[in-house]
Parts: sequence; structure tokens; C-alpha cells
Amino acid sequence: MNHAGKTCDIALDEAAAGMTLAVALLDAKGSVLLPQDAALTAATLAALRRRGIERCVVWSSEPAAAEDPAMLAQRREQRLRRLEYLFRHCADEAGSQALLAQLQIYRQEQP
Amino acid sequence: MSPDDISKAVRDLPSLPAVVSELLLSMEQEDLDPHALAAKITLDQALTAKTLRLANSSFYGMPSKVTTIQQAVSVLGFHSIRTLVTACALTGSFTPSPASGLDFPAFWRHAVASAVCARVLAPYCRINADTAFIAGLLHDLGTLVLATRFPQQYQQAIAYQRQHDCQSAEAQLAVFGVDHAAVGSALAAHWKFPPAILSAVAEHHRTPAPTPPGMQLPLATLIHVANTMAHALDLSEREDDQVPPLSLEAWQALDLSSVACSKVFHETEQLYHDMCQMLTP
Repeated sequence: MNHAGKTCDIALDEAAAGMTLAVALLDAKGSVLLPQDAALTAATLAALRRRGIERCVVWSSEPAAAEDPAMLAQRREQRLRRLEYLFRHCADEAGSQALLAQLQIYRQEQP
Repeated sequence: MSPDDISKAVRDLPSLPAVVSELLLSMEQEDLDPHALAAKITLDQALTAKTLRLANSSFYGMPSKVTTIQQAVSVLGFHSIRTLVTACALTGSFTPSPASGLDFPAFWRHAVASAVCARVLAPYCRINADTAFIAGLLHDLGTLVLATRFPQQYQQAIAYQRQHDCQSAEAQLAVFGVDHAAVGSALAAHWKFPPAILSAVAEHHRTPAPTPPGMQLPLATLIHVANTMAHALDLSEREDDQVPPLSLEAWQALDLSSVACSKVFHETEQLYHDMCQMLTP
């Protein structure tokens, strides 16, 4: 349900049915009224108003702007360098090298 | 440090709530009575309150509020509640001593990361996911004993580790003459942990003995891999963290494909962020 990871903090009056909560809504005692990723409905919005909730954080529906490929490449490079640093004492361990190879694939595939 | 010093340090620690010892023991029992245990949990009010707060957190996404342990058991299942109660009780048993220099938040982040990773890996070696989670959470328990009981020496161990850029166990051996795995297993014995969890605490840095084909992988081997993987996924957020050596036999025994590896890494990262909010004291 994560809409490209962008969130908006909005007044409850601006919230509409169909939006999805990015952060769980809690009451004054810290109990969860609605969990993260709950879809808002007309009924839940009315119930939240009755409870005096004024704001909520929802996942933004705007598509994320396309990222600069150079920035993406730089981030990947940083992740791979960090992996090398973490594995700095494991060059002679075959098990560690097998794990490192899998993590390099995983980190390269991340945005 | 002599073995006597270790057992004295361990004996001086607060004892676990009786119900937690019982819950830990029940992990290996098939014929347990969830209702009787739920009733016992309820007798410890602080534990009940913390468990209910967790059960009502966004992690479980409950449609309505759970107000009693019995209700939580029926909605989440007894196994989840047992894990939650045990985790709550154990993470609350140590008071950080600033003089020790131990980064407590980073310590717990690594404990939660190892727990989550062990839980995600558990189905690949047919080990109970709750037992794997608890063993992952507790594997470095000895570090807490050393840091809370001997803060000055612990600070020396940290300085040694920085100076030599070595594993924490190596620094502890140089300063204390024992490492956290040995101290942790003494505490696990004192607290009467189930034998599989005790072995996992004692042996998580050792190269595991090969598992004969067709035999179930020992919990200690799973924790050896989960601990390594948690460091490798960089979840403790410690700038100078390092991955401990991983035994090739242990890695091959899990027999994970590339697709399975990516799935395990991804699930661990996701679950970790949810769990951290709840479990780090």
C-alpha cells in the first residue's frame, strides 16, 4: 500500500474516503484507533471526527518524480562500498563471501 | 574473570518473572494449556500492560482494541503472545549503565534485527518461528551482563575493540578473559532457558558442526546465520559495525536460492522496522 513512500500530513477535513493512512492514528492514551495502511472510509472518518482527531498522515497519491539516473547510480555505489566495509575482515571466509555475493545482487537491484 | 566471578555476576541479576520462565519452558511442550498460561500472565500487571500495548500497536493491525490477555490470545494466537510477553520481560530486565560505554539502543537494534532475521529464516530449516525469534533476541545477552555488572572493564573492552578493529568477543576475551557467549550461556542456564536456546546463545560465534543429511538444522546454526545476516544488512546503524565470519557449512545447510535470499533480506528489513518501534526499550 506504500505509494512510492511519500506521505502528507493533512487536516482531517481534507481527508477523503479511499486515502490510506501512512501512520497509525492513536488516541490520547496511545491506543491505536486505526493502524498504518488502513484505508479511510466515510464511516471511519466520521468516527475519527467524533473522537476529536484533527489531523492524519496519509500516503501521497502523487507519483514520485523520476529520479536522476546519476543520483541513483551514486546511491548504489555508496551501498556497495558500505557492504565492502562491513565485510572488511571476511575476505578468507567462503561462507561470508557467499553471503556478500547475494547481498551485492540485492543492493544493486534496490532503487 | 574466573568462572566464579561469572556465576556471581549472573546470580546477582534480577530473577525472571516466574511466568516468563514457564513460558520459555513451554516452547518445547506440545500439550500446553493456553488458557492457564494466559491467566498467569494476567497476574503480572506490568507485563500485561506492556503486552497489550504491543498487541494494539500497528504491527498487528487489529480492527478493534484488545483489552485482555485472553482476548489477545484468541485473536493473535498463543504463540505470538508468548513471544511478545517473553520479549517484553527480557528487554526490561537490564538497566543501562552509561559508564559502560555500551551503545544500548544499537545493542537492541541488533538484537531485534537478529530476532527478526531468525524468524524469517526459520521456515527454511523447519524450526519454530517463535523459538527462533526469542533465540535471536537473546543471543548477545551476555553483553548486557558484562556491561551492566562490570561497566569500567566493559569500557576498556570497547576501547580495545576500537583500537584493534576486531570483533567484540575478541576484545572481551582480552579484557575479561571470557566473551559474551560464555557469560550469556551462564545466564541462560541460571534462568533455565530451554536447551536449544542455551546452545544458540553459547555457540552463535562458533563454526557449527555439520548437520547430517535429512537431520533438522540445530537452532544454534540458524542463529549463527541470523546474527551474521543482521550485521550484514547494517540494521544496528553502527558506523564501525563489521560482519562476523560466516561458516560455509551453515550457509550451505540453509540452501537458499538467490530469489529466496532477496526475499529473506527484504522481509527482514521490513519486519525489523515495525518490530524496532515496539521492542527497543
